Amino acid sequence: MSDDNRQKEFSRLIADLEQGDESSRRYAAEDLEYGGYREAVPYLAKALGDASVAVAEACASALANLGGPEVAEVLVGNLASEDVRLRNLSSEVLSRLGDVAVPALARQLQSLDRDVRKFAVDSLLAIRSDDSMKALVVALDDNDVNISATAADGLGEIGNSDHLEILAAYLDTEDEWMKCAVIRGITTIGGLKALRLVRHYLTSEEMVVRITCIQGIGKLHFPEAAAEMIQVLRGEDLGFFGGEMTSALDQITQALSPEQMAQLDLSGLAQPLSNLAKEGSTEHRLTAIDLIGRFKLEAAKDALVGLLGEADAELRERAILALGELPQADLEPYRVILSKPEGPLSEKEAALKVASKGTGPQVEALFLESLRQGDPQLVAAVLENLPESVNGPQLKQELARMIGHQQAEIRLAAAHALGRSEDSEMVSLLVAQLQQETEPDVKDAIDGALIQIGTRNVNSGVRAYVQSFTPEERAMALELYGFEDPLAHREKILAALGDEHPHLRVISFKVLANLEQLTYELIERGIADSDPAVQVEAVRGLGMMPTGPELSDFVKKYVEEGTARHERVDVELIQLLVQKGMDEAGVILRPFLHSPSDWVKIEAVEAYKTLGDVSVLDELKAMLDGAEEDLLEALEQAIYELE
Amino acid sequence: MSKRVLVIDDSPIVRNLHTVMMKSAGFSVDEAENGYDALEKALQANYDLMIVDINMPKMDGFTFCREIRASQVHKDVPIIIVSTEAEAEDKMQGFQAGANLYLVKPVKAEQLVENAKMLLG
Amino acid sequence: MIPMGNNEPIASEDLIPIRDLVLTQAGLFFEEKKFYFIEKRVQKRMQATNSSSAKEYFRLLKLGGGDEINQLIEELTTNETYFYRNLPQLESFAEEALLMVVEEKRKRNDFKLRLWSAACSSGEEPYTLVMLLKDHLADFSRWQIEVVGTDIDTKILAKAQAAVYDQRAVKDVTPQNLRAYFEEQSSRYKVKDEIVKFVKFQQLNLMDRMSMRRMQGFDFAFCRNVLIYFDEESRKRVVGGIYDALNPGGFIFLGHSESVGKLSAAFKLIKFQKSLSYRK
Repeated sequence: MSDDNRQKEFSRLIADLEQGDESSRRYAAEDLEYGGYREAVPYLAKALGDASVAVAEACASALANLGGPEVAEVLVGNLASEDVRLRNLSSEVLSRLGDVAVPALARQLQSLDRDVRKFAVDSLLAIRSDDSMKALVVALDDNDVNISATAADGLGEIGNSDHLEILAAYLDTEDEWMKCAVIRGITTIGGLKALRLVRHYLTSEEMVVRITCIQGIGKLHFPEAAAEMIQVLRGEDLGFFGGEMTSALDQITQALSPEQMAQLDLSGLAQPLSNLAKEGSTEHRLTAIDLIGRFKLEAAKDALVGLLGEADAELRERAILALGELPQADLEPYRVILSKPEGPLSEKEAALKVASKGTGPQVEALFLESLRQGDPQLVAAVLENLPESVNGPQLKQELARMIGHQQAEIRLAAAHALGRSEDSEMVSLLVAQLQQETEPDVKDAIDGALIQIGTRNVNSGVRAYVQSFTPEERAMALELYGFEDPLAHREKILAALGDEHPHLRVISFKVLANLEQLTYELIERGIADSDPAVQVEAVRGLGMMPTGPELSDFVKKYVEEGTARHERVDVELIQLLVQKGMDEAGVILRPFLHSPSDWVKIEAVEAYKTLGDVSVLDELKAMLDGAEEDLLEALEQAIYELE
Repeated sequence: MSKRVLVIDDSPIVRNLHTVMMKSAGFSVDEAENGYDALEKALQANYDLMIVDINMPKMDGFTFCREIRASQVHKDVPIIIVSTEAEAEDKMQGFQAGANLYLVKPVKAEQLVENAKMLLG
Repeated sequence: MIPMGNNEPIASEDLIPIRDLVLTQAGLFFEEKKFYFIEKRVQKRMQATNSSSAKEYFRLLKLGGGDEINQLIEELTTNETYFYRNLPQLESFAEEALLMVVEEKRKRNDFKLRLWSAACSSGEEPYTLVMLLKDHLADFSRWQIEVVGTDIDTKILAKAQAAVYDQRAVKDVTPQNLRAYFEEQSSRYKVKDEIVKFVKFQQLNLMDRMSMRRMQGFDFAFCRNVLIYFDEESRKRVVGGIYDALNPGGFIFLGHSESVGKLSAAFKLIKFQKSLSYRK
């Protein structure tokens, strides 16, 4: 646009901004921003007081995005305005301006108007830069505690260990608010030194100071902080404070490594945590339960067993999880729960869940006993919670019986249990039931169980893959693995290489490669496939072939044949050459440097870098000319390393 | 069921302290960071008490009080303003906007909790 | 051994370049805490393309030329849509906001209603809106109605135009409405022409401000579960654009977890029986 036109456009936009209807005013603000009209700043600042909130917001965005110190200078006066919206929007823009606004804001810290100082501190905090931090230190001495406390708290958010000493100087303040803010600031910065500075406030007489300190130390994720917390927890019954300390201890210990946890002295915690698990706010109780589990506090086991009868499902669930962390040699408490005829089902389910984490004949006996009680609800619960591997013949027999049970929900639960067992002996039973099953839900569950069993062990990684197929593809894919010996299905697997679904062709390549049944002939066929995913898989198959002249001849011949292939195949070939570390890799790779595809070029360049082959240095340097961003980066790195 | 309180303040430290004070006295507490945020929360849930700051971005405490008094759900909920503004004029404005009580920052835990309990009868 | 499926977790540092590419190509932003969401979808695309690592997949996306970036964007943006999704909000619209607006219009003898479904995906939302209008306006035939469905993805718009859905999409449609507004065709459901004819689809990038300015004169705008994909600044822009597109007194409806208030104070909050609403 010529200067003249620009000037005209500017005048038009300003006229719109001042006199247009609401939409025109908004559009004008937006266009002034996008056109980069810095000379519009005073007009936009004035329009920040527009009667329409929407227009004012558009002007605020425009001012923030145009930026610059002149915006800050124009707006800083608005902080004293009685117009709440104007003041708030100005403050928002100042916060978004960054460093250029710091000098203007810093000056406002001397204002006699307390509100102005408070807004200036807020904006300085939002700017989060070295300059704004320097300005904030001044505000720590503000005689209004709301301002000094905001500064102290905020310095913690944006400051670093250099600010610890500065903040600590304010710890002996008489004012409990300021003290809280300083403690928060110090602990937010963190580190051992922070812990040393604030730890004795853990037992402060002032409630808010004490809580602030507990919460603050909860943010210090190292063993010394945990030890400090445990030390206090061991003391008398702490009530509400105990709950807060538990939460803090939970936060700290979650962040510790197993080695650090092992070093921690957890003695004396079982009793206070048992008490805290039993009463207090639900939030605190849950945390106490988790900690008992995580710290494996066997002495607190009784408290957890007692919680299995809780009406609140979440408390129950978490007690189950926590109990799962403790050794379960003694099953007696669960037997008692399970044999109470009038006990709530939820408690029994909880007991089953805990017991199922154990193994061995005793656990199986407990489940068998419960199955035989005959109450259908309990039976379904037993089946849903059965341990993963069932070995005892009696329990197996009982389980097999259940898949034909007259109640659909029990058949459903049995199908889930059989699926989890991954027991191939059950396949014929499941297939037979599948043929006569009438309930769609149960059918799905049996189908799922068959997938689980069929893809167990070696093939477990394939499960998610198979599940993403259509049902038709899935049935065929499952057949490929076979339930027993996949080698016996070789013919079928080979036949699947010609399947119409590319997924299945890929799978058969994977299976053949894993069975070491691939041949060069098959690979050639795969590379000629119409689908790139299959081509890629075929090249990956080459990786399974023994290194030697046959492999290099195959690859060489392949590379020489031309460039009509899909670039992904080239990429895969390049990676194969590097991975196999073949002698002639450098030579074979050469043509790829001149591929029409940047992707292939990059891979080739990186391959040379990995191989440490300096013979191509000159060629790489020649390629620098006219290379696009990604290729350029790869070239520069390779050249740097090779030199 | 413990009584539900909405603590509204743009400063995280003030919010946290007011929350801690109320929680330690057995209240359950939600937080909002300005009047608009609070109004959104208040129109979707029931609160037994609100503790409100005055100077906040987006929507200030006076406006918030007026909006709440005009709404169906919370037109009778007790509101405590806790503000740095200590002038009689501000207090008047607060009561006119619909606040039940006006405290000047910073407040002590006992002071806040006792007043809350008094307002809740 | 060659790994079979690839459901290994993807490290954040491998997701970041993918995320950034999606941001520059489509303006969709995912915060780190939403990485599980991208991860699942990237894994799915990695399986579909038989890519063996996230790094390889990234190269395919960026340098592979083809259509893969669009495939991924489609995967990322096609969230679960179905008819009558978020019913309480739709009820607030139909039973309260709509009645408020038509009442005012009747007084002015203005019988035009325009609705905008701003990220309509495969069309369930705009069609649902027409169905709701039919159900709630006793004098429906008197009104001149237009529902505009927009989306960034032209492929999905073609699907919307076809108006044929599977069982899952109609799971929340009452049997009565299913009979009234759909034709069953071998276990698929086609929306009847009497509904379809009120809906117009067009491609629109919500971030393109000039195209956004052409959207004008709407009484209701629905922009549900879209803003989650944008960063804060872009969200403000989109909500500002919708503000401009609305008539005075028009309503904006965002998704369940999205707040207009955090983005703009220009709308008036209105509390309805079943949900919160924002009015220009």
